[in-house]
Amino acid sequence: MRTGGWHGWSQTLADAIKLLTKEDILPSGADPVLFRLAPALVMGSALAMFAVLPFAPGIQFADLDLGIYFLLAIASLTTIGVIMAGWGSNNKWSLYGAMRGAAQAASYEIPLALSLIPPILHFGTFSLLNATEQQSGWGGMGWYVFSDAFWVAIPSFFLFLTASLAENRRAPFDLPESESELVAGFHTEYSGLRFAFFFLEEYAAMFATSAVATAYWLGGWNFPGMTLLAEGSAWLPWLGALAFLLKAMFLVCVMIWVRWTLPRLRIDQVMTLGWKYLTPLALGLMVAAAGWEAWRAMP
Amino acid sequence: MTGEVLAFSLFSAMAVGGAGLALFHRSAIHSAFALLASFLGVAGLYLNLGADFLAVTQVLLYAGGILVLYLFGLMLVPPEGEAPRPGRRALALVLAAAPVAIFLIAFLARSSWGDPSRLPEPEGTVRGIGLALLTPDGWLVPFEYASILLLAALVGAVHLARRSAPKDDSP
Amino acid sequence: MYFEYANVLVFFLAGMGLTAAGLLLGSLIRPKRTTDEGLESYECGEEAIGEAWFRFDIRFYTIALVYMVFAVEIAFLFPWARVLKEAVATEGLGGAALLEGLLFTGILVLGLAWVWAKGDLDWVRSWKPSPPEEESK
Repeated sequence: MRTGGWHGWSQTLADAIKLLTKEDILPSGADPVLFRLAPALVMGSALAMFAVLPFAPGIQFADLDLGIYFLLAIASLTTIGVIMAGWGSNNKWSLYGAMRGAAQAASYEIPLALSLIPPILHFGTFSLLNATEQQSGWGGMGWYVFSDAFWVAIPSFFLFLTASLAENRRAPFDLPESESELVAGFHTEYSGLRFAFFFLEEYAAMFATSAVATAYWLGGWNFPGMTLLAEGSAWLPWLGALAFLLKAMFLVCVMIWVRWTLPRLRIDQVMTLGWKYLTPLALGLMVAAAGWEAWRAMP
Repeated sequence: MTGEVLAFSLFSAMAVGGAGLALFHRSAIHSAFALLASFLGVAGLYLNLGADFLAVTQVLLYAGGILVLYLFGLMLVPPEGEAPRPGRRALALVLAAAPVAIFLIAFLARSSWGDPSRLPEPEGTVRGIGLALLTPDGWLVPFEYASILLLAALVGAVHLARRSAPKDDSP
Repeated sequence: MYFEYANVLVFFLAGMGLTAAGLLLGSLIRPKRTTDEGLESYECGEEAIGEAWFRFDIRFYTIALVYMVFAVEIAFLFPWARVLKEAVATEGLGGAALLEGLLFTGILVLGLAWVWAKGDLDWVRSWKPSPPEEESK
């Protein structure tokens, strides 16, 4: 069906309506409880991540003291949802995809968490709001990647992006749903709206990780020329939210771009990259960042 | 205050219900997933007590780590289908747990509790935990000892897992 | 603190509710013309043989074990990273605070090196000609 309108803006809407009108199939061999619970668990954890993102001054639903640590914990709930979907489907493709997904998520959660330690050391906080506020210097350009620790900030930024691609099961790490060998991986048996929830979660998680990268490395809502606005200007939340969304959407675009550029890795390559390259690299960056920050903070 | 009571009831029902389901469900995989509810309920109880770092760690380590470990472990053993568990064992478990429960209830009933309504709203605990881990008269030695313990656990567990590896080339 | 976590809980429940609401809305308009064949497990047109609940290799379990240990390490290192600057600057600990964290990490890096050297991080293991005595290595 060809829809679109101007530059295809209505395509997304048409897709949503199409998925809503598709038949809902519960395979006869599936485990009905787990099959139904998995999309709900995955959507719940995806939405819970959005509660802690600092979009703009004053626009944040929950400023947790544990911000980023909480996000890591919630992200690991998604893995449980994926195993639940794979097991509940009672389909060989699904279970295989789910097991790969869980092994991959476990392997990349370590470099992902370690790559967050340099900015935590720098800002001395888990709160995404506090970290963003500390980057407002230099007329809105005091971002972590431009700070005196830029030489550790830039590698850790790329490390975080790579590990979050794997954590979100995006190409080149999309082995859990590799369509050329496992049909659709862990959501093979999911049709219509239930499939849409897994799809939505993937993109929501991509946005959430991009938003974390924005808040910790790219200055969050801070933008150049911010100081020209009057103190407490009503424009600040709007322009701040615009800056935040532009930066986060840019990173989402990079993730989509990577998907169309790189071929999928094999499972052994994924594991080797995670444990033998990224984990030692992340440990090294952490040690370097700790030494630097401790030296800078020395009285 | 009523919010706290409501939260306590909800989370403790989750914790106890999940644990009960894990004990008595006939399918081992369902038992493992029931543990998820139990872990999240316990995390909620920690949160209710103001221990936010402990609560989030509970979710990260138990729901995200131990549960995956259980599931992978269950998938190592040959699937026996829905083998009914012997009912006698459940009875034995209840009998074994009853003295502990009676002791705990008696102990709790004799304890005196302060007035919880006078407590201030809890603050985040992670800063205090971090500083306590680093001060020599705090928890520095246990902190370093924990890493040795983890090293021993890693080496021992991986060694045992390697020795018990099945010989066939299942995927 | 309670208010913030209650907010998060509401978001979580809203996500779960969204799936239920979407499916409820869809049930009003979507067709229900299921055939027995439509409900079978999808195996590219072949009839499924047996259940999908089969055994998996020990490698998955080993990876989960190593992950578990490092996740506990993360749980210790995050509070350390959170307060390191402050501890170095004000608490009179100085460089000791740094060394304590690095010692903790160093001991666990030994563990990583051990599983690495023993080949537990290699995914492709059964394809290699295995040495006659695995234990003596």
